[in-house]
Amino acid sequence: MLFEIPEGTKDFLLGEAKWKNEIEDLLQKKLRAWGYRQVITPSYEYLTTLSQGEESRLDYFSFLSENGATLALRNDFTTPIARIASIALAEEIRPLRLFYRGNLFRLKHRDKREFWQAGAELIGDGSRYADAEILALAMSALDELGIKDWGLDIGHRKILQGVLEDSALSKKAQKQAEALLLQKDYAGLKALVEQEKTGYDLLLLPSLRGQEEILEIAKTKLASPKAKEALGEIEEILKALKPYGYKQINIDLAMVKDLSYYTGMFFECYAPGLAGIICTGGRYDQLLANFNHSEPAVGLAIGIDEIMEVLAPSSQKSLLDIPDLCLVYSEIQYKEAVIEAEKKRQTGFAVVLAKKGPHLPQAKKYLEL
Amino acid sequence: MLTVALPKGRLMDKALELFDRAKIIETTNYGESRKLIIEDNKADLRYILAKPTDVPTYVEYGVADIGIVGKDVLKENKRAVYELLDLGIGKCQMIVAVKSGSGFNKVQELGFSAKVASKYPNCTTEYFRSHGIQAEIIKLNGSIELAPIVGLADAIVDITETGRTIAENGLEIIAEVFPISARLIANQVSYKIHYHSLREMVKALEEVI
Repeated sequence: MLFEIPEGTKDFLLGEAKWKNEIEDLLQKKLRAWGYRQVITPSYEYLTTLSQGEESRLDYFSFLSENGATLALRNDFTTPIARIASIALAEEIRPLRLFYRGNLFRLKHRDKREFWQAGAELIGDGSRYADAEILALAMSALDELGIKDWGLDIGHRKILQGVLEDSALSKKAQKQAEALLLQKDYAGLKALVEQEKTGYDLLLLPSLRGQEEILEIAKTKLASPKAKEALGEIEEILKALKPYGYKQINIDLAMVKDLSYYTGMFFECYAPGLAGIICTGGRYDQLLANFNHSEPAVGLAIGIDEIMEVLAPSSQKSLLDIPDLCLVYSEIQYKEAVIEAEKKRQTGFAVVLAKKGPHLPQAKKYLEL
Repeated sequence: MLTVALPKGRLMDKALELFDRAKIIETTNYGESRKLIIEDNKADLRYILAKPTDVPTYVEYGVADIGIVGKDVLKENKRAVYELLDLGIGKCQMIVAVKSGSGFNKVQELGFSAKVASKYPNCTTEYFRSHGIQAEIIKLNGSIELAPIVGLADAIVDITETGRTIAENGLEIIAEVFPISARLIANQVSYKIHYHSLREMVKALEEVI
């Protein structure tokens, strides 16, 4: 019998596990430094809770409880945190800053079915300053992790919404257009618009990516008032971001996200050498209303697996996980060795004990008593 | 330097000719060589000559920044890449064909236990499901036209440019699945990093298509 692990899961062994914790600890320190407080939610919840955040994505592992209720492994942290903020922490002073770290489960998340995230949610502040704080926190975390040449793209839910509403496309064609933009199929989008003979503004979106100056160009090119309003919001966010001093920010008006709960600004961070997104997030002002507690919110999530993939080439040193010292004793020195080892441990060394012999455990240094 | 994954074969020549016309490169003389990697210092491009079905894989993983590949390959193996432009070359059709005189005029008539042979099991499954038919898909790697003749399958799903090979093998087309042409694709991160030069390239190509 072969004892393999299921598809899409992963063991973190020795140095890799140590390194993963170091990354998460570093992020945790960063989040705490910005005043965010940790919550730990259950690994599984009632599906009715998790599905408050999702309209149509059937991307979760589900099973039944003994009384017949459908349970599902968490496939997102933001929805459980919206539940907490709306109920258990409803009376806490706003704005409420919460963070999390842990594992998530999806059936079709690239090649991983279990994956790891750390992230922050800023609840009860609908201002552009809150948007800027989340963006700056994301960028500050990427710098702290030592990721080189990362980039950040900002988009806005209402750009596409506005352009679609402004067109004469049928509801069905609008859905198609959104799906094509999500798949980044610009060739397909062009074919759709030419076939429907409306929605030509959609074809402008892929060319509207760049730094701040793109906003002015977009204002003159896009007809939709809703899209213009979104452009004004992005402008205000950039203004609020100025004091933080980041330069690597782009605006991407063709950006579409697959989580339906976003209502305003959203963003993606990427880095050379990784096809996926290392950090993402955005504003979700309607999600808490699903838990009968209407409140604006904005958040970010950092992909731990993706961070590890990007940093892997420079991780050799971090991957070493060997005790600092091995105390080698002979039979009669056993008691002395135990006392000595405990003394060393008190001063911060990782110490193992070994009886003198041909096979000693791995250690950086050996000390014979 | 941008790395371009090109599909070995006829499509590559047509693509290079298009690049030449768009003034992205100057020569189209890459086809002669047996090398798999070619550097074009003048155009600041590096080419990887790959099997067509592997092109999206190279691009998704980022070893190539951009690539040229048929829509059939993109539909069969869904990859997370940007599909920037329909190059309008390598045009053909994905079709459903049956043995001439078999009496089937529409896919619906193939019934619920239809056996369908194809090199494209995913496209085939998706097409038949969308018509409410749970077809049994038989994956073949070549000479698909043989399947209905020898009784392996009731129908085939395959690519045809003119329909001649289909007709010559005693088959007839009963449905068009989707039109195919070559696409310019880009890696998701390369697209962002080289955004301006790639948009320039798209613009230059759009003008000559």
